Amino acid sequence: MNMQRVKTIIIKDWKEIGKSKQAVLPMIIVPLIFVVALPVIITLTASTSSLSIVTSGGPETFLKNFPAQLIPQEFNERQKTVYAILLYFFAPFFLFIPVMVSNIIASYSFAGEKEQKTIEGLLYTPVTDNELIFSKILTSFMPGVVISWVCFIIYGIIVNFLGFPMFHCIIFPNLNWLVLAFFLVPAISFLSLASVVMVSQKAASAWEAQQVAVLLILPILGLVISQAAGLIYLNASVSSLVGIIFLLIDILFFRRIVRNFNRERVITKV
Amino acid sequence: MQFAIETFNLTKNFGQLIAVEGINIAVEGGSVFGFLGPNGAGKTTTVRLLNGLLKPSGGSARVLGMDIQQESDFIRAKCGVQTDTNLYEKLTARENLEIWGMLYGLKGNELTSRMNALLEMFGLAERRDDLVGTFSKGMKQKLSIARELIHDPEILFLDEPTAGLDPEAAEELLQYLKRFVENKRRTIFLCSHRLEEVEFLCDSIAIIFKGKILITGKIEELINNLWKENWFTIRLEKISQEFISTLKNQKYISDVAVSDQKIMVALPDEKDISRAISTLVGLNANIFEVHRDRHSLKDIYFSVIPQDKK
Repeated sequence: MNMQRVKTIIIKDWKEIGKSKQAVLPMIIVPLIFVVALPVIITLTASTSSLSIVTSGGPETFLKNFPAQLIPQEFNERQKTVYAILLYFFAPFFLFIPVMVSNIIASYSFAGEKEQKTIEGLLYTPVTDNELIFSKILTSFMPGVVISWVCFIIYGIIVNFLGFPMFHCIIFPNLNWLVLAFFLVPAISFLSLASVVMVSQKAASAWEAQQVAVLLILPILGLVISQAAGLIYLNASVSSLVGIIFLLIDILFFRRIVRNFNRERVITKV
Repeated sequence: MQFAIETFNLTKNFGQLIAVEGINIAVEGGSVFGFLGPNGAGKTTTVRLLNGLLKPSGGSARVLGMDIQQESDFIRAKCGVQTDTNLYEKLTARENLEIWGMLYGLKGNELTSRMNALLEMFGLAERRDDLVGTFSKGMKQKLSIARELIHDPEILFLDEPTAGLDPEAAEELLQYLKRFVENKRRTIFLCSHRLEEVEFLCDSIAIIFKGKILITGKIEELINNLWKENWFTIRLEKISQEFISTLKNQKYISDVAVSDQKIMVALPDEKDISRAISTLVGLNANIFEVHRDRHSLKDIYFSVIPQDKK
């Protein structure tokens, strides 16, 4: 595999996508809400004794059934509530970030290139099928994972900084977040882009290809609702289990993409 | 002889549709080959087959001596294929060239100097850092050709290269392409509807229609084979019936036609034109002009493409 060609295609895609406002804006705004707005509201309202405003509705049931063993026992009730919300209730929300980033980039990189008809030019160059698949996958996979990690770090800094006066210790990350960051995020990021690649073969535009994200957003919403209803909690074991399921689907999808990819199919489906 | 491109009953079907049917063409290295035919005739499919983008349904082909199925990666590294709309419009002219150069293995000073030379040559140097989306059709056309020249390909596939160019730019490009072939011994496979430019550039042609090659060969030879007689036009001050009947009675004249103040004569032997002129002078005809009617590629094209497509 010629890495110069792989690198060239990745950089080319990033440059192009970086110039599209429709692609870049959601990738900035959504993480900002999850990473900055939510923890700031929770920690600040907790310190001004108005936590009930935030915990009314969804988190109330969540907190009532929350397993006690997941929270350090030395915390008082207020600390336990904030800890459960910051480290567990918000966790599934973070899965939206890799799904969204990988979905948007893959849509532009695959379906967008077909839509613009630039793919044919690329297919006439010496780039091999494997180089093309590999570079297109990395184009979407790397930002999905890296942006999520950066979000985790910022979230961690905000949570620890604003939470320190209340907890008097560093609370982020716990084991659940490490599993989330290093296992679940890469697995779901790949799943997101692989779904786009598969529908791109039939989708007429990048926008159409993006709609497949619904298939991944629904199970994540399911997790959020299940947690809110106190049915399931996204702890390290649940995250690992979900990660393994996603990984198995990833492997199936990857084999299918590699098997189905050939120049003729790409050209004749344009 | 080693041909740059050679096809052997090359066929491509898409389900029931036969896009290319058993075509046989041979393109000499260091020449310009014109590939003509109406829209949907099979030109693009042939270019895609030759560059390994499509797999043949039957037959085979060799490009630069390499089999199109076994060695398509090698073939693509040695060829450049310009098609109409495949530039990255959100990137600059320089970025478009740079990406292509890097995909063909160029880097550093070599890439920079080739990029600069091409931008200069195509008059795009001042717009090098502008987004391609802001370019006119003609500028995009020039850039798309420049991009395919960045790695100095051995075979350049061109699709309507002068479309969208103003007459000066079109002439300049044609002259450049001629030099490209003559000086560097490169080969051009030219798909075009512009018969004058094909005639100016090409040594040999093939005309494809509904997936089949109707005719192929050197333009001059094709004309000589299709039209055995030499037609001459004689413009006179006044035409009389006597002139026409006398000419028709001459054994060395095979046909006579009349239009306005002109008489057209068909001569199996071109030397007999002086005899025809002497005959008219003997009849006191005032001759203003005599010229030979040369057949062109246009005549070949319209004589082989079936009537309903004319």
